[in-house]
Amino acid sequence: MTELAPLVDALVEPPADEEDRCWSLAEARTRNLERRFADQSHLARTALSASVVRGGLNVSRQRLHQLVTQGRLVAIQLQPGAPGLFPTWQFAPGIPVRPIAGLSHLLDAAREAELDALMLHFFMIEPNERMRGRTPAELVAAGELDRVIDVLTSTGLGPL
Amino acid sequence: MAGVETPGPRALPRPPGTLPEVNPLYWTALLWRIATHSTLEPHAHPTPRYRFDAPHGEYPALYTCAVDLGTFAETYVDRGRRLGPGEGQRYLLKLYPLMPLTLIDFHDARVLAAYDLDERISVGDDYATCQDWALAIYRHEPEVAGICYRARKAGATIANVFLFADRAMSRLEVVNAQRLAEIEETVLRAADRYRLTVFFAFEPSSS
Repeated sequence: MTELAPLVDALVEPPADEEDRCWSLAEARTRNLERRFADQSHLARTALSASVVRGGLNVSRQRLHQLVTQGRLVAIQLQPGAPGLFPTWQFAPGIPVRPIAGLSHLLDAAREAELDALMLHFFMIEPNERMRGRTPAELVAAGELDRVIDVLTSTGLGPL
Repeated sequence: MAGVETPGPRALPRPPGTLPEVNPLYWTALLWRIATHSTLEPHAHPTPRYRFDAPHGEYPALYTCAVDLGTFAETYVDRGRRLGPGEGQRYLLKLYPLMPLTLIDFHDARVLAAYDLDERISVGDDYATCQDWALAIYRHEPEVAGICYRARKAGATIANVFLFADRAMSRLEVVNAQRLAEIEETVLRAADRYRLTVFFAFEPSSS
């Protein structure tokens, strides 16, 4: 692997364009941090806390933890040890509060596609070109779970 | 005009029994992919999933991009545009062809015209027809190692290269494999260009 690397780099190093010349690592770090903060703020506003979900599902703290570790609910941990945030798209409308039908199949597909909870959440809420600009969450709510799973398991540049 | 239906776009044609002759592309440039392992791992699902997968496992598949930053778009834009906490442990593989790779070039309008195709073969959603075309090429063109096609997320001028891994693996060298956590500048350039958000921590490069 190492023998060819310097030769290849010397042969194919692309010329710097304007974007390359103006780019700064320090500024890029700042921009990425801004995007992360925006995501965290969005999650804090739109996802449910563990205590709210426990109350809604009428389950104990231990049972809720089980549901997450068994892959039957999605919880996003923004920091190790931080309390999980539960995206709302995984819950069906109406009373009593319950997960959407087929959620466990969706979570199995996300594992197969190697998306963690955070990536799955943003996959679900970002408009998707393969769904004609609708979000996967909208399609799931409309009963098109199979279409969402089909796109999820074929997304990206082949398997990782 | 009530009741008058506008005809929809013609479906992407399925491959004919015999493929017309086209001039192949001889690919000699670098290729890139993001992968869990630092070595090349082709895949062959019993049921096809990705655009040019074998319909029934007839060949192993390997997907690559011609541009390093473009690889991030192709991999992560449809994964919610986020690189989660574990993504830093994946590798950016830099691949160098040891000899020219003979490709069918779906970026070439003459090839599309000869096959009666259009750019939906590269960026459309009818994966079943794309898979039929890949199989037809595999069967009818034994010298062809893969397909060059338009990237969907990285930009219209950027090419992806799909490879029939059984024909291409021996012609490819992994010249570099770096964990994403160790290539902060590359990852953040891609993040800026394609509006990606990176959630993993970067580390000093070990090389």
